[in-house]
Amino acid sequence: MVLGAAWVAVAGFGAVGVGAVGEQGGVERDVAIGRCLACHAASPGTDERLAALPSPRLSGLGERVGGDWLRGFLAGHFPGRAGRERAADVAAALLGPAPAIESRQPVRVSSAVIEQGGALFRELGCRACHAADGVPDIAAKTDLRGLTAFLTDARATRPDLPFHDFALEPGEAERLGAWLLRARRADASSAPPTPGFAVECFELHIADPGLPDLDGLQPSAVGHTDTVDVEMRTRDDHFALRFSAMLDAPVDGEYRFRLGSDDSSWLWLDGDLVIRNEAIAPFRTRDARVRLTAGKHDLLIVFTEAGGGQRLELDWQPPGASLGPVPPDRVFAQADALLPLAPGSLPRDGESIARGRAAIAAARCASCHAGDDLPVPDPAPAWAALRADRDCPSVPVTPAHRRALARRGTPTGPQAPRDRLAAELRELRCLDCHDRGGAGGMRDDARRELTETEDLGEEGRAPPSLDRAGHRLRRTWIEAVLAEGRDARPYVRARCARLSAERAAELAGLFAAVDSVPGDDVEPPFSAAAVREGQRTVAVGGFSCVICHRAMGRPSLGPQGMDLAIQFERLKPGWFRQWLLQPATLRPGTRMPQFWAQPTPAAIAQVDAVRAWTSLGAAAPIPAGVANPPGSFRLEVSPDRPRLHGAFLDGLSAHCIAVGTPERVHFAYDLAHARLAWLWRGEFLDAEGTWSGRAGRLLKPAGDDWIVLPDARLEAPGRTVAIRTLGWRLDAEGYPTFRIAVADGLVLEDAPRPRFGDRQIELVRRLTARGGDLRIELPTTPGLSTLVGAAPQTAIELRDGRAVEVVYRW
Amino acid sequence: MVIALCAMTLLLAPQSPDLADEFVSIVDVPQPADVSLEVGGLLPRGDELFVSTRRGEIWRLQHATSAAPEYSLWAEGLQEPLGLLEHDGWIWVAQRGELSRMRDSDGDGRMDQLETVCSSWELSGNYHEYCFGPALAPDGSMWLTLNKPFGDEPFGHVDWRGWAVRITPDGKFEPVCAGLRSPAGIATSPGGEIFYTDNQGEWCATGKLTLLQVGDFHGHPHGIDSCRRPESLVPYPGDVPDGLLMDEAAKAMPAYRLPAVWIPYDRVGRSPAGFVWDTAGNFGPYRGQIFVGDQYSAEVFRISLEKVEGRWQGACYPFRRGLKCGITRVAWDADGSLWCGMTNRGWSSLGTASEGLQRLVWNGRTPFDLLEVTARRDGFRLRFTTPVDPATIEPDAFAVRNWTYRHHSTYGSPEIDPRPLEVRAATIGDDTRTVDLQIDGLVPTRVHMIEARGVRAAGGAKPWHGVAYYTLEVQPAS
Repeated sequence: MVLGAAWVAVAGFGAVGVGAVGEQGGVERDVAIGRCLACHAASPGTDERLAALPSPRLSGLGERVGGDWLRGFLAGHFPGRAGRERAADVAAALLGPAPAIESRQPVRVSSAVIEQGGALFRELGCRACHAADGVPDIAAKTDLRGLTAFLTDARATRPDLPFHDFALEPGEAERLGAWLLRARRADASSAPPTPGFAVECFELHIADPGLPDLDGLQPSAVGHTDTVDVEMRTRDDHFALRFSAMLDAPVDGEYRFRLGSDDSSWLWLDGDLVIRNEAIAPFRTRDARVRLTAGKHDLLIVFTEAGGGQRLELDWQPPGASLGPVPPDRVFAQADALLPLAPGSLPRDGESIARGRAAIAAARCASCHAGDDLPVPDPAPAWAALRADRDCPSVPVTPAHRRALARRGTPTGPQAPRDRLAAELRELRCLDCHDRGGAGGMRDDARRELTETEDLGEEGRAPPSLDRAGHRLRRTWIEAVLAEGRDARPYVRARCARLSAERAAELAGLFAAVDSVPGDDVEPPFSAAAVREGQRTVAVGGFSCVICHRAMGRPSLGPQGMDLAIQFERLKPGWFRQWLLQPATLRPGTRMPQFWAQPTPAAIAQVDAVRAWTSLGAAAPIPAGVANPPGSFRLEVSPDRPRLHGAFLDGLSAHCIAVGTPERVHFAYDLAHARLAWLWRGEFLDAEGTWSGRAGRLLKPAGDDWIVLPDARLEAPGRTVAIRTLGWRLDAEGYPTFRIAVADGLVLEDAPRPRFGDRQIELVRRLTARGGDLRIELPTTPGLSTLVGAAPQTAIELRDGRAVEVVYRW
Repeated sequence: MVIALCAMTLLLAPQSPDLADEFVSIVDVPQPADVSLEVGGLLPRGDELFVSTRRGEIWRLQHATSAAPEYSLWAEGLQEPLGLLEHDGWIWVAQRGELSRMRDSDGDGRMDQLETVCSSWELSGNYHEYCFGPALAPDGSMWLTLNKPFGDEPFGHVDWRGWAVRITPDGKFEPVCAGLRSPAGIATSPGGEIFYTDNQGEWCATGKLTLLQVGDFHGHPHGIDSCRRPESLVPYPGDVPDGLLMDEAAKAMPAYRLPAVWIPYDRVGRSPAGFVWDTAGNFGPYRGQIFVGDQYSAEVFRISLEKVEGRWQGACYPFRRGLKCGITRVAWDADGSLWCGMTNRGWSSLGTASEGLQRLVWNGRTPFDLLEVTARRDGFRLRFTTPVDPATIEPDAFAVRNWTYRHHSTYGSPEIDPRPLEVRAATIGDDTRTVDLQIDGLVPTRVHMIEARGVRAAGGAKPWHGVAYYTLEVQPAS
């Protein structure tokens, strides 16, 4: 266990789980951690899992690890007294004569950032593995740059920790790092104060001139400035800035402050609101006179910008002086600093480094570790030739090693999927957060500290159970969650690690192999009637699923439960049906209501209709009762009428009209070139480019399955073709017919309309020539079928006054 | 900064809101929370009002002036419809890329037929290529003004930007005037002529109101290459010299049409937009004058015109400030109140809102005010709304100065070469409302600022607004 403890120190994890390893596979995994076969050549029949785990990379160690810490670590890493004696030399050799980490400057970090890091540590569920106060010894090991790099991309240096990729944003990594390293926070008296203001930018919808609640929001930028202005903004509209500083008043007396802004701004001194400049309006100033004592005062400014121009200025007038900007040397960002690692006491001389390199060769470090310029070790004896009673010069030998040595020659058959799954779950530490089969799950103390964001009970806070996961979830969904970070539960703030694609596929395959039940992947029938029935069932007025569940990214009316649109992609049909019919049989104590008293055939048909509706995914018709969040420019299409939007469309022209339909198959007409140009599904359009600022930005579909139709060719026998749009008409239900002049006296009417087909919704384009005959070539494009009747066709003869229906499927 | 502060000063100084409220009330119009009224066009139709919005919608307000107008969506899917007009049984609309006419053929309360009357101009895809209008000419043609682009032209450079164009009743496209900049208002005068307002910027010294006549050039060189196209009714104006004063520019460019009225920046608004004539006397004594909405200053100001030696010229005057947002469109309701349609999306404006509707309602009381300034051979004639106190009429009661502008490629022009002018004599007329000022130093092409600071009404009241800005294009011979 000495070895295990050493790795704990490197990884900073409380207990790597070595001791919890079982015996099912016949080989104990802590032996694999020994990586014996990295040095000792295996003979046929040796269990290959002995060498299954990679080791930390040693390249660039001087960028991220301090010398004193490394020496201490190495003293335990090598076996026996010899290890302790050579630790300093090896550390010196690994770090080189001038490690970068020892020459860094203090890093400015505000106390707010440190506090946010602590909150994030608890919120993300780091506590499942780590102690409440963080990671022991981490502040002696590395600095903020090193730790941020690790947190952002652990696999780059620590392939031995495949479960430590949490897809952290840079800001998150920095906050976490600042908190973990808070032991090196500079003492206020010793660190020089930083002139200027600490500033944070927040992106949020500003609907009115009032003061927004910024607490708990993630800043879009955090920085430092000498002047109060809008330079730190990350966008031009709908943002807030917060400036904080310690104001150093030179003398006692009355101070005048002038705060000018477009739009709103507020100034607090020592917690008192002294200027309120509230309006969504052009730049204007407000003054206040405040009596201050000489010395330090807390200053806070909040600024908001809704739309249009943005500007912010702060002036002050100390007693006896004139009005002007607050000089940077009179304000100090209330930022603490994290002190760099002190240069260690490692030897730096060539002799020590040479001894260290010799020791590295002798210990065969390069067998396990990748690194720059590591001495290549001599060959080690073969695994088969090792004596079970001898010590190893590289690592301490444990009883488990000795048992593995004793079993040499005993053939190990292929491991059962159940055992492999159990081993993977342990090795990837899944059970530190999730429970399965009555074991695992987050410890109570860690669980208590998770953030509750929605009124969804424990299901809304804690990582979900993995019971029967392979029966419940599609294999592709498990892979997407593990490898791509697909997230069904945005309300659970605890974050699941991302795995490599190979590892995710392996794990998903094991779940499927172990948990699948025959027939659990048979889909119920699909029909237009079923989709509509499903849409009605989930809607307000039906079973009102949308009161607790989000739908297509839109908020629900109550708690923001899991989005309905992903459930087809996520849940296997067998589970889906049982979950809707009798949820408590699958998950006792769930908040999901049971809507049907008995699983009658009628109930099953209705559940299958919901399944048919979810099968259209994000393109499923929107159920009644679902609305856009405020501040969104997403164009909703009502269930009973198409929606028209005139816009500039990317790649077409600035003279287009897009038509969104309740069926959620949408199309766009390029009026400038008189042609049907785009088809797509799902989301219609985000109108921000047309409806915000001065508009005129080029839009693209907000949905999926986007088809750009090639230009049609129109021929009218004996007539000169000159095409232009004559306008459009709407039928009683609001679907348009576009009227195109083709030649003098010859008009083409083009009426596109969605229709339910077999498993999907298609577009039917009803074409009619008026005033003569017309031949149309409709060239197709990959992924699009063009049919007339049931037959693929691209050339159509239109007889005067007789309509032809062209069907697009894609 | 200086300009902004200047505007603030003007906002606060000359007019107390209480006094303004006494004569002209601002009436708010209830608006549902889920309806956006970024107003592009206003069309009052008896008891109802059609409002076209920059979001491409047309809202119909029934019982529009009541305390609870009923809103319904009449049309959608239009592109920035910045003007509405009813003619010949159709509702006409100026969209970015076309002049269209629409109707509700089945009477279900929603537009169901849209005919593209003309789309002969192209769009580069630049956001600033707005299309304003239409204004109906006596010959049945529809006039539009086409804004010029600023910046990216993702679909390529196009003709006819910065032009006024005319669509004949049979749909023919006729580009009639060049050299416009940001022509946010266009309207037909009671006499059947078409005027437009333009906004200060490059090649436009300050806001202006100008007559549109076929073949005229209005000063901005952006679109003059289109003059060489066969459809153009404007001869190529030649090179546009950069930096001339107005009198020099008028001489150097014979085709350059000087404005009827310069609207001095930050003295009277900043960005003039829609305007209407008060032919019915809705606003009491100001019958016959023009009321203009300003997109920046959230005010309605007024203009009087007179024809001198065959050319329109006149003066602008403050009227009513304090609306809630920059005003794009104004229109008379049947009840004589003035609809003000507003939006400031994409620019800044005074006021507390970013869009919406308000109405100005004349309260029936006549303020003592400088009603109108007209030019005379040797000075100006000032008419007041009510009798003046003769004792206050003396040269010192007036302050007159004039200035010119520079015609150049940079944004806007300062007031150049300001000169105080001496009022030699002030003579009150028999009607006791008219004062003739005899003034030396009047110069054609200059703006003359006339303040009646010391004048008092017969009852002792100060003028509501005692200032006028007269653009003297031509000095009367007699």
